[in-house]
Amino acid sequence: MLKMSELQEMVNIIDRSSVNVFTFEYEGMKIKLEKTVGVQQTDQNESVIVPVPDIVQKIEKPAEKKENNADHIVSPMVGTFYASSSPEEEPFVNVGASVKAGEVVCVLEAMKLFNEVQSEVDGEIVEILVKDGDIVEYGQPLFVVKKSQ
Amino acid sequence: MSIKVIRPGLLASIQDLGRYGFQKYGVIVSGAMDSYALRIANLLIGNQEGEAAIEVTLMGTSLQFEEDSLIAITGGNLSPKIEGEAVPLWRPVLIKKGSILQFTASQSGCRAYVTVAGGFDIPQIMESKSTYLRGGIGGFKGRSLQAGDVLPFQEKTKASAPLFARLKQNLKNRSFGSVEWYVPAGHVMNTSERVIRVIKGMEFDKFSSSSREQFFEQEFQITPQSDRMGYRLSGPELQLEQPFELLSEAVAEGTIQVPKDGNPIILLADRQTTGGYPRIAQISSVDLPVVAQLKPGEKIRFKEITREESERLYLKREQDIEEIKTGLSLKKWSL
Repeated sequence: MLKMSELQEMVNIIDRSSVNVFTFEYEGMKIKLEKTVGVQQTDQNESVIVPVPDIVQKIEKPAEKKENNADHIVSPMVGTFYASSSPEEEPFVNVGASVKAGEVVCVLEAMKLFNEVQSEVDGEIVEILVKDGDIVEYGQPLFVVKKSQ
Repeated sequence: MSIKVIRPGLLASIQDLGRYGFQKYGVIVSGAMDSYALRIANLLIGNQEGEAAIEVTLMGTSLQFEEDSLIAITGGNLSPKIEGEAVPLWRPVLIKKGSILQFTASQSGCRAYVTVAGGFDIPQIMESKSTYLRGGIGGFKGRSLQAGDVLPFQEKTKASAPLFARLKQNLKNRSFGSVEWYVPAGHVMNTSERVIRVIKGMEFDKFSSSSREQFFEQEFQITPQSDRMGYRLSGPELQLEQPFELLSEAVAEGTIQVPKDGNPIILLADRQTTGGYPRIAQISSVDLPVVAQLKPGEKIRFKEITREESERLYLKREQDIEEIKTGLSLKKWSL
């Protein structure tokens, strides 16, 4: 069971960090912390209006692909991306490689531990979206995979 | 809870971080040749980092587990297999009761370490479980492991309980199970030529100028006359400028001494307590695990670094291990 002091500490850390939404599961308990990130009021100053449609388009594109049997392998954690298990080794997968569900496609380093990321589907690697040494976020797409029928 | 030795292989012995404080009585330090691999093998399964492990040399060792056991295998990749299936290194592994772990051949490195959650229930002799093979002291009956030996375990630590439970839950009918994360083993590499960092030894300046140059410019090969006590190297013969007699003095792990024939010897875990040969160099502590994984026939070069640089590398290594400890404790939360 999580102690009140530990929870307090967790809230403080999240509060100070750049993280906006944080979900935590432990021993059957689930905690979701969400910061009130206020939409910046711009005083109707037209010159700072964000070109919303652009962003929306960018976000929607992958979603469209998804309908055409395309899928993403997303990062399960924050870490440094490596395409191979060590610099001397060949990458786990290249563009065009076929993968099976459960096959390791890359490793993510965090706290000097390497974490294997597996494909959740059978399919073909269409695109690798990150480079060796990139720091990736939780939920960030790493690969585009075309699901086999 | 115990392991039964089915076949000892080339050489398998119990080693921890060594027997310190008794060199003044002539008792050598011993301990794991690759202390980094030993420490990680313990940390992975919730042990104290200095718990004793089985040090397996090259090949042939085969061990049977008499209960479901949480273990880790680190060090060189000696193709460990459980019931014929390759076992991943540098991660916690749950091995099913009755299964046999075998080391078949070296893919990289020379020595592997097998730890068990809780550690081996073996008496400490002079504050250590390490085997002093030549002296017949410590370890399992003061000797290398033999077929039929049964090594009992101590009680599992609390720290290993969540890992044991999760792996056991996922084990089903398989003979072993592991996790999807591991500690990278950068120092055990399959490169043709390795560079070992050293600082100048006490008698470096007493060697001839050509020998001093050759020491850093030419390569040396590990000869078959190499064991846990030291590695004898072949390469350019190193000569003194003027012959002189040296009183025996303390030597350390990684001291490179040069006998009269000019072929250097790297002193390792089972080194004698004092030596009377001129010391040309001292291997930086962080590169000792690299040396420990070298096999006869492999080649190395030496590169000079300052003592300050060597200390900086040492502190960086210790920081990395601290980070690994933190990372492993966070893994416990996510189980």
